Amino acid sequence: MTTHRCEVLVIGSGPGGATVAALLAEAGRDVTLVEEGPDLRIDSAPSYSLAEMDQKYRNGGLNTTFGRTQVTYLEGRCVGGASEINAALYHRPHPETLAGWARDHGIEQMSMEALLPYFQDIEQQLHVHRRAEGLSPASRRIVQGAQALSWRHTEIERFWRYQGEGPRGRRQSMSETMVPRARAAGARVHADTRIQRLLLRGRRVEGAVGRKAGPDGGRVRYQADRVVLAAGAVQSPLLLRRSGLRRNVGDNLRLHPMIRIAARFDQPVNDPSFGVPVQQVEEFKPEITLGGSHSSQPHIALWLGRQVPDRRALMERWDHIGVFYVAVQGQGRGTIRALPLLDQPLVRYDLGARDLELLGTGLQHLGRLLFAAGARQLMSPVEGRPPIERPADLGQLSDLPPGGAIAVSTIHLFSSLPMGQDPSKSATDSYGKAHGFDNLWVQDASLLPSSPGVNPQGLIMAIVRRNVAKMLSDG
Amino acid sequence: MHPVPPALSAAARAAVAARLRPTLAQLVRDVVADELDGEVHVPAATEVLLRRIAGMAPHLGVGMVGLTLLFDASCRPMGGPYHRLPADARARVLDRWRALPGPLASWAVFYEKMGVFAWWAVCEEAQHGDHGEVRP
Ligand SMILES: Cc1cc2nc3c(=O)[nH]c(=O)nc-3n(C[C@H](O)[C@H](O)[C@H](O)COP(=O)(O)OP(=O)(O)OC[C@H]3O[C@@H](n4cnc5c(N)ncnc54)[C@H](O)[C@@H]3O)c2cc1C
Repeated sequence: MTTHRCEVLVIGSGPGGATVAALLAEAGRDVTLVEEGPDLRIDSAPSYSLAEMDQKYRNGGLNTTFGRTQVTYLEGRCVGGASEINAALYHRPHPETLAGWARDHGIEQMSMEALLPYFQDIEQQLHVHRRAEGLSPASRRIVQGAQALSWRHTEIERFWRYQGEGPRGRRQSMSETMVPRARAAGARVHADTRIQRLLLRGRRVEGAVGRKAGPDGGRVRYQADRVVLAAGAVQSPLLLRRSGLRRNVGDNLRLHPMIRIAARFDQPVNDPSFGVPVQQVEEFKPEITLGGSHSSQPHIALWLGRQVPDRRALMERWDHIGVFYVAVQGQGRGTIRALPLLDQPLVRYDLGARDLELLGTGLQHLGRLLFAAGARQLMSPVEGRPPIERPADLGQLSDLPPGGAIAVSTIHLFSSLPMGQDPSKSATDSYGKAHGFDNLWVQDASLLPSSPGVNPQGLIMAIVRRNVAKMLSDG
Repeated sequence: MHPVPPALSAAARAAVAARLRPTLAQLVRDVVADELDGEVHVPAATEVLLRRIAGMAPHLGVGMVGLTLLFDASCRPMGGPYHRLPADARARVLDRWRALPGPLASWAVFYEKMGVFAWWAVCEEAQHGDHGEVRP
C-alpha cells in the first residue's frame, strides 16, 4: 500500500472540491485533491456523445433511483466532476430561498447580502455572461412563445468564454479554471483514485484509504490533518456511511425532477452548432422552470418515443424537432444507502404526489408555450399515449400516472448531508463542518438544505467559498 | 468491456456477452424497425448496449442481465429464443412484457429507449462525425 501525507485531503474535484483545493492551496496550505475519475481535457470528446458518456459519466450515464416512479440521474466522474459535462448555465438563487434556509435551518450568514461578494467573484473568475450574438432557433421559439403569452423569460448566463461571432467558445469547467489554479498554487491532483473509507478516531479523521485504478494501481492511504469531503450529493453520504457514520447521513436527498418532450415545428428549429438553448421561462420559478434541451438526432429519436407513427419520416426532418423540458423544485425526499459488498449505493426517491402535480402543471405550461411558438405536434411524455396536436388536448398532461409510464430524470441532486445548526436535524454546521468532528468538512451539493429551484453550480460554489473563508479565519 | 457481474472472470464475462448479443441485436432491429435498412449499424448499436450494461452499477447491471435471460427463457414456449421468433410473435412478447408490473416493464422500456438511442448515436457518428456541442 502506498501512503501519502498532506495537510488537507480534498476528496472529489467537482465545483465543490476544486474550489476548496484552489482556495486552500492559494492560502498556503499543503493540499492533495483526490478524484476517482480520469484527468481529461475539456475537449477530449464532443459534448453529449457516446464517447463522452464513456469517459466522463458515472456508469456511462445510466443510474436510477428506486421507488414507485424511477428517476434516472446523471453524475460526472472525472477531474472537474459534473462541471465537465454540464450545460454551464449560471443562476443566482432567489433571495427568499436563502432567507428560508437561514430561518428554517438556523444557518448563519445565509442571505443574498452575505453571499453577494462570493457570487460576484465567481461571475468574474468563471466568465459568467450572456452570449455575444444571436439566439439559436430553439431559443428564439421559447422567446416567441413566452412573448405571445406575456410570460417572463430570460437568457441564462453561462460559465463560458465565447469566441468571436457565433456560439463557439469554451466552457469554464473546473478543469479549465479551479483545478489549474489549485495546481499552480502547489496542490497535488491524484486522478483515477477512489476513496473507499475515511479513517475515523473519536472526534478526528486521520485520513482515508482507497484504490488507484490502472496498471500502476493498488491500495492507497492518505494521512491528513484535515479532510474535506466533496464527492457530490450521492457519493459523499455513501462514503460517510461506509466509514460508519449514519446520523443524518443520506436521509434527506432532494432533487429537481425533470420531464422532456419532443416538439415538431413546420420550420427548422434545430441547429446543433448552437448547443443547448439558453432561454428559460422565468414566469413560474422557482417552482417550475421551462427550457430547451440538447437536441441531437439520438436524443430526438429517444424522446419521440415508441408511439409516434412513422418515426422514419419524422427523423428525415429531424431539424424541425426540438427537445424541451420542464424541471420542478422537487418536494419529494430520498435516501442513500451503502450495499454490502458493492461500492455503489442504493438510491431511493419518493416522487411525491406534489411533484407529479407540479410536473403535470409544468407540462401544460410547456405545451402552451410550444403551441404559442408554432409547434404542430408534441410527443406525449406518457408511455402509450398519442402525440398532442391541439392546445385543447393539453389537459391530459395534468394527470401524470405514477410508475414507469413517464420518464422522469434529474441532473440536479442535493441535500443528502444538509447543513444547519441543530445536530439532530443536520449533518454539518452552518459552514460545512461535520457535527461531532474537529477536522472533517463537507463542501459540495450535499450541503444545500433543500432544492434551490435554479441551476445549482453557482450557488454551490458561492457557499463553498464562504465556508472556506470561515475555515481560513478559524485557523 | 463485458457485461456484469464484474466479479466474474474475463472468460465468464465474454460468455455472458456472447449469450446476450443475439437477443440485444434483435431488440435493436425491432425498436428501430421503422427506420432500419438491412443490418446497417445494428452490430455497432448492439455493442453500445452491451457496453452500457457493463458500465451500470452492479446491482442494476446484474438485474439487466438476469431479466434479459429471463425474457429469452419466456420465449421458449413460443419456439424461442427471442431472435428466432417470427416478427409477430416478437411484437406480442414485447407487448406482454410492457404490460407486466415494475422492473419487468422497466426492462422493456429500457431497451426501447436505449436501443433507439444507441442506434441513432451510431448513425450520427457514422454520418457526420460525432456531433456534440461545438468546441474549438
Ligand atoms: C448533465 C448535467 C448537466 C448539468 N447542468 C447544469 C447547469 O447547466 N448549471 C448548473 O448550475 N448545474 C448543472 N448541473 C449540476 C451541477 O453540475 C452539479 O450540481 C455540480 O457539479 C455539483 O458539484 P459537486 O462538487 O457537489 O459534485 P460533482 O460535480 O458531482 O463532483 C464530485 C466529484 O467527486 C468524485 N468522487 C465521487 N466519489 C469519490 C470517491 N469516493 N473518491 C474520489 N472521488 C470521488 C466524482 O467522480 C466527481 O468527479 C448539471 C449536472 C449534470 C450531471
